[in-house]
Amino acid sequence: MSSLLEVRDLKKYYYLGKGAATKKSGVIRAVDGINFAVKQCETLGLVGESGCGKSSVGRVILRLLSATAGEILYEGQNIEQLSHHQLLPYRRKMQIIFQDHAGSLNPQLTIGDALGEPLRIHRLINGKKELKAKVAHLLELVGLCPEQMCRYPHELSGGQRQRIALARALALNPRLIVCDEPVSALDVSIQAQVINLLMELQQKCGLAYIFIAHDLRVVKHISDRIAVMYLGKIVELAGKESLYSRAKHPYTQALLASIPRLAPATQRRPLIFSGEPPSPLQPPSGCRFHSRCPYALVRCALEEPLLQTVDIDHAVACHLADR
Amino acid sequence: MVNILADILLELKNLKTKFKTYNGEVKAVDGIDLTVHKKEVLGILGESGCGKSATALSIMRLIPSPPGEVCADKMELRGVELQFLTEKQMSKVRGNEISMIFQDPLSALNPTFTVGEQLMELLMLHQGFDRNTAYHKAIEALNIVQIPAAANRLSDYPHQLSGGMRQRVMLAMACACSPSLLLADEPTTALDVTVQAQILDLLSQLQSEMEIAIMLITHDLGVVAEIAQRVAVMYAGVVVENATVQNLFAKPLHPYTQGLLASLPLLEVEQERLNVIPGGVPNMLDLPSGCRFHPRCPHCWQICRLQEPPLFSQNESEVRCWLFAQGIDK
Repeated sequence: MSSLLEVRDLKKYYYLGKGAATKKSGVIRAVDGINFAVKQCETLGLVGESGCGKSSVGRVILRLLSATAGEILYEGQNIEQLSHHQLLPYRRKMQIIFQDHAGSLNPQLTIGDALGEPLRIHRLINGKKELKAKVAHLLELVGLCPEQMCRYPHELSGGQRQRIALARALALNPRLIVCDEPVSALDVSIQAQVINLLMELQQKCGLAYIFIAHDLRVVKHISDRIAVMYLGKIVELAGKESLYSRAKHPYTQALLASIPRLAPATQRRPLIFSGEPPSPLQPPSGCRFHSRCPYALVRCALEEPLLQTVDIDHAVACHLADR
Repeated sequence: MVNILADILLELKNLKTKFKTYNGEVKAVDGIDLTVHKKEVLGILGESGCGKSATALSIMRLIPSPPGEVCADKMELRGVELQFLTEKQMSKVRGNEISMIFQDPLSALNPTFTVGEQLMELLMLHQGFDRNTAYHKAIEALNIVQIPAAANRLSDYPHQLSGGMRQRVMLAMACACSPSLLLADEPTTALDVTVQAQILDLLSQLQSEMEIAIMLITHDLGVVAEIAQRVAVMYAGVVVENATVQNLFAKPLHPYTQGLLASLPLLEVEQERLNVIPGGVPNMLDLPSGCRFHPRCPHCWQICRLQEPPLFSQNESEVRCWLFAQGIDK
């Protein structure tokens, strides 16, 4: 299967100005040369600690932020250099839903208006009747009743608002949806409903997802392949079975070890590493993880490891991976 | 494990917390009984709006009145009724006896003062230390929560610290006067998993070394499994299940607890679909009749719609569900 979206050596730097408030000036390398591909109808999970650049990746792919360098290929077409006008047809193909369901809906628009807006902008409907029918269809698609059309976002619960955000993303029949922490603001009992809905819609509408999250349980459930990011780099990229059972990178191993188990602990598990991610303003030399890595060698501080395929559908960036 | 009467630290009987709103009265907490024993970790588990935080704030007497109103048949800390204390006496209890940490440490710390100033203020106020002693005690407090280079951190402002560090500072402030009870309201929800694991380790260390009882409020079953010994599951303002953590995970009794456990994705097994509790959390202004969970319950009977169940004892647990009533025609 050919890939729907391919990202080559993507970089996103944020430049800090020298101002009155910020004395420091420097460059934050939020995304620093990453490569991956998403196939049709596939879910790629993107995990990592906060500040590792996973949300930046999602936004750069949609050109909500411009990339500093690199290529974003949608079905072979590099969309990074396209003008605003040329980009419009691609905007329809790629959509995004955010964590903050309240903030992503305009409080002054009814649900019907919010769902109709993208349809009107892209001129996909003729007349009010068709608009209403299409909006009703979208609401049914996400498991809400069409009567919700004339309500306002504040009248709905969090789970319902996230369904509306999803319906709006689906309005233009996209092929790829970037889901930026879509369930982490929801209650546990509602999370499962939204996850099931996402997976159903994937089947029904033939969607590919880039699923950004920090909850490793949820990511495992929904993803086909998972990329683990650390300080702007992908450190491990593998199929989910392979990643969860045979994680090669010490960082991935540590992440997996810190998931709280669902059985009361008989003994306390060993803490694999201490400390927090270093500042992305001054990432460590060589392998960026070496400052927290329990297995670090001298070589790790000097030489940056490249993402290398070590197994079928399993790539890792670590000097120790081949041992 | 700790069931001797003398070991009871905090006892709540029939606690009710109401808020008057324009749309009517909201009973955020509607008659809950809780006991916290010395040196134990009690988990309070529930979804947003079920009254877990309101319970903690009621114990601290931090519910603003109006619009809030707190009443209880009993709210005793070591036999002292908290409701009868004057505001002055209560402020002695806060910090010295009971202290609290919150989900968002950045808004709980004052952004215009350094960490050191805030820590020292508390030590001087509650323990009556002079500046010099307070300074050394502050360093000590930061050492206890394992902040590296503690003396240098004292001159940092909260925004200069990372999320995990801020939560450690909050913990240092909470434990500085060695309280006997720590109310931890979603202490790790805003943190990364790796940092969450560190903070949970720290909490259980504090509990065993400083002999602090912890009331841990969370929506995360994993966090509860990690450090709690007993768990109270709350739903729409009432406790629906009281159990030891082993029993809760091995054989959950209430259909709500069962639903919550089943709706989590498992790491070990591949699942097609997640199990779902249908519907959503009820509106607190318009609660369902009878059992509050009945519209979402897969085992709902006639009696569930009509009458609210009391807490039934079942083995070592307590559960608020008619399924466990004996001799009732369902």
